[in-house]
Amino acid sequence: MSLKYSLRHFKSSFSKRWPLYMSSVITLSGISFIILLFYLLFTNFIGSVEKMRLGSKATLFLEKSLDDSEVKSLFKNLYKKPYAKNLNLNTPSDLIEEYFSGKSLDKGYIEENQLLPHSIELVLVDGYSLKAVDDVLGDIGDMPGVEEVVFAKSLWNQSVKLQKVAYSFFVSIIMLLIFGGLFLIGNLVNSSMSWKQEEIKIYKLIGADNSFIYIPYLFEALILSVIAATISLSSLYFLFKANTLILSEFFSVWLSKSQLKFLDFEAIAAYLCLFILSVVFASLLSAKKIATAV
Amino acid sequence: MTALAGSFLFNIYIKLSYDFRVIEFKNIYKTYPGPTHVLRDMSFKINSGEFVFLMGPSGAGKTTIFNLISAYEKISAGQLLVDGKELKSLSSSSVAKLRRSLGIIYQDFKLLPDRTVYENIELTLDICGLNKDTDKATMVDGIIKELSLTHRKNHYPEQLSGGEKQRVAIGRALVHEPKLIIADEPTGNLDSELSRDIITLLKQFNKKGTTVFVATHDRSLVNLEGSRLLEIKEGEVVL
Repeated sequence: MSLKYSLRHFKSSFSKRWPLYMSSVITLSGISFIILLFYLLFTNFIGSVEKMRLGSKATLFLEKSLDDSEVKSLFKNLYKKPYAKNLNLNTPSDLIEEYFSGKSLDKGYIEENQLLPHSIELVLVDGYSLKAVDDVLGDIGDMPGVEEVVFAKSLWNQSVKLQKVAYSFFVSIIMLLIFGGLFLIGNLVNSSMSWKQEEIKIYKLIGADNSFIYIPYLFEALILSVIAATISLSSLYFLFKANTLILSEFFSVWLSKSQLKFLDFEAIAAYLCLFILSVVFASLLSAKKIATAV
Repeated sequence: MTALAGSFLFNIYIKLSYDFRVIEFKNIYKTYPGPTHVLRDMSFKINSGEFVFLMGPSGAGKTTIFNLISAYEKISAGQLLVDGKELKSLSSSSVAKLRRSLGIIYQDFKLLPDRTVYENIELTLDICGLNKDTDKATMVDGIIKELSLTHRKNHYPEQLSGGEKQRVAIGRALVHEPKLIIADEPTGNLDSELSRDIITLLKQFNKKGTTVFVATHDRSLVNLEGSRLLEIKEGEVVL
């Protein structure tokens, strides 16, 4: 069984039955497009919720009596904590620059008299419940050198809940779409294989072995699935580019236009592999079923 | 000369597992659920190079005999030997190999409707694993010429007459030069003149050394010159 024969078989079949092949490609593209669209919405929505939670970081105001080495030591201790995702140390000069820039005041006086403390911005890791966050804040507050801990608890709580809901919703929808898609692909392949029953029967009567029967159909499934995946991905990309403004308005609470992302390369590669494998596998099962039956 | 070269190269490409020097039915029974006894204690032998007519009324078991030889069905009891080897419990790949060694012609032609005459005949060589286009072209063109189908080479089955379709079926069965041809009522759908032409064609190939086993219920076609008659009735050999 050669690739040349498979190609010849495909060209011959396509030239005689191109409407059937076109409708198969359109159906596969449609299934693929909808799955990709939901995944795109999912990733951007989750991304936007992540951004919201990043805003709810804990700000630790340190005691003004701490010297530089004590501040550094406290910073290192916090860095080792399991709940610390990200830390940012702000010195009094940073605070002066951030809060008082553009205003006329005696910065030297403020700094010399230590009227402003060091502060540490702490971003907590994901997956913490509100109770756990309370414990963490308590732990931080008890650390020597920490005078005050400021944290937007309600915003954190809302973002965690929203993320859970979003995950459940999107994952359910995507799983339904995948199962529905696999079912449709299976049906599509079955119905397109039914006219090949007589052909397979004759192949077997002449002495074709299984590879001769299966390989052209697998080759056909591979070509059609690659075309369908390419069409769906390209369509989604152009739709994304054309409608980024609309999407950014939807996500505008948390994301600017530039922050909306198309699917990353790994996700696209993984999806293409899975989609193509699904179609090819469905085709193999169908061919095997027919070859065994005739 | 070119046809010979093509044939030689083809035999390098594939190994025909069965030479069909001798086919032996030894006390064979074939029973279908019911029970329906189609073949009862059937024994006969076909030697290499013979032309054998298998005659019998409808339901005598002619098609069953061919189905057993081509491993389309299994015997219920007895022994079916090909070149001394028993055809029992063959795997699917062995069945495919056996069928590639045969040339099978059906009453209803069994041509692929979306392939041309050339492509239908070429299919056998593709199945047998001959990949080289030039060799294939040599062999297919050779057989098309022998069957006087050159002018129909690029036509589809629906454009052919009954006789032409049967000749295409013969071409597909013969292009890979099998040692045995089995033809199940090859003239069943043809008029008497065409039927005689088909039998004459098969006799020509038989003269080149191919064993031919033809089933027919038409006594007028039986020309016993250089051939043998095997007559069956109700699953038993009567002659």
